[in-house]
Amino acid sequence: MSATLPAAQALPAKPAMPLAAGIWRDNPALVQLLGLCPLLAITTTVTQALTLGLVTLFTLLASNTLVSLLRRWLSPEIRIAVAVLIIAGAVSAAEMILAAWFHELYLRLGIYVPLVVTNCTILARAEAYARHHPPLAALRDGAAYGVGFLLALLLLGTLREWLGHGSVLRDAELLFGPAAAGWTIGSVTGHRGLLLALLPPGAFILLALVIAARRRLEIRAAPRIDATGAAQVAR
Amino acid sequence: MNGTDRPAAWQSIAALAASALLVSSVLVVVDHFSRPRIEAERRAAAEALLAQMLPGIDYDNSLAASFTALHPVHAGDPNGVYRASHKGRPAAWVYAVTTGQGYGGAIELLVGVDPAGRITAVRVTDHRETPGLGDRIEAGKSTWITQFEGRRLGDPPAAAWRPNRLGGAFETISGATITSKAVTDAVRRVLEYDTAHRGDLPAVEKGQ
Repeated sequence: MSATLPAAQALPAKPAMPLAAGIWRDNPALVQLLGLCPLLAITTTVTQALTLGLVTLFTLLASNTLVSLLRRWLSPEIRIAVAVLIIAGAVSAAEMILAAWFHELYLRLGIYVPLVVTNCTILARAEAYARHHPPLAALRDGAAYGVGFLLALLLLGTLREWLGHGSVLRDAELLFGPAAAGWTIGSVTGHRGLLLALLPPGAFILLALVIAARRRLEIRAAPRIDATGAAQVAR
Repeated sequence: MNGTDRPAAWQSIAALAASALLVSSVLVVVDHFSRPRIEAERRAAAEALLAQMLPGIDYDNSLAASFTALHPVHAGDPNGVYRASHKGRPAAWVYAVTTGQGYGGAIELLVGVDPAGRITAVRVTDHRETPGLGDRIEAGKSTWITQFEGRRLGDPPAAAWRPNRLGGAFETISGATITSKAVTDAVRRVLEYDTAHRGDLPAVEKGQ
């Protein structure tokens, strides 16, 4: 199933559940390193990260389900064309919805919403999974990878907003409505945080730290793989 | 996977066409429901910004509807103007200008000017300046941009019309001297344009 994916994943002892695969073992952002452009660009606040994560999740669900439904008719000649069509359509719909009901967020995310089309995770799931599996399984697979990407965005967004702005969930009302205006944790004004965390280099550094932490947890949690892992390091 | 029951060419063509039809139909529906709201949001955002441009000025026309595109001849010339009028008399002008002198790229500004040539307000509408430093030109991030209010050509004199880091009369955003200078210069150029060309602006005030 992962023939077309980068082979950098960590030696799965047994086939993981789809949810665990998408969120942990094959996390699109933290293991496969896909979709990093929006990931690094917009995770300056939790609200922005959450919005882009939801758009990506929605697109993955739509494309996986539709590709799976159409799989009997998708010959190799038109398979990718149809998948890209579906993905572009889903993203365009999401963009219009954002512009109409979440206008300020739409302005802030700018080009990164249309760029969800180019997130390789989405086409990779259509190619690697959805076109061989029934709709329900494809939907579950899309949910797993979409949530995996969303969680990575949220984690990075939380770290960067906290370090850079000294707050968490500022501007939440842009996504959740006026009731969310008081959700912000920490100060919104008067705090001069760590500027580096808000700039692209800080995003790369924090992403690297998150990836390293995930790797460490993974190695710790799987003592049986230690011998092989050690052998790999020595090689 | 699909070796044995491979679809014929016409089936592929039909599938591709059907997918295109399906996707475009969905988009037509979404567009139908979102378009009015998107346009209302755009108009509201534009009006809200323009309303900030003329504090204390009485006017009775729709600023957004009064826009006239200008054709910049020299760098720094405004590319458009909104004209406020009150009982048929000109009340103020809001110039839209883009400067290429920013640190991160173009900075787009609105500059409001009253009949006496005094600045009513300056606002940044788009920029790519450094977050945390140059982005303090935004009214929402610091009060720096308000220091131009009430100024006019000659106050301060042209030689001092620059950030104090460069020996001028205006404050400098610390860590963003280039950004500060770009905005300060752009504002002065608009005032110069206003002085030289206000009389040439198309006189549409009466109709609006």
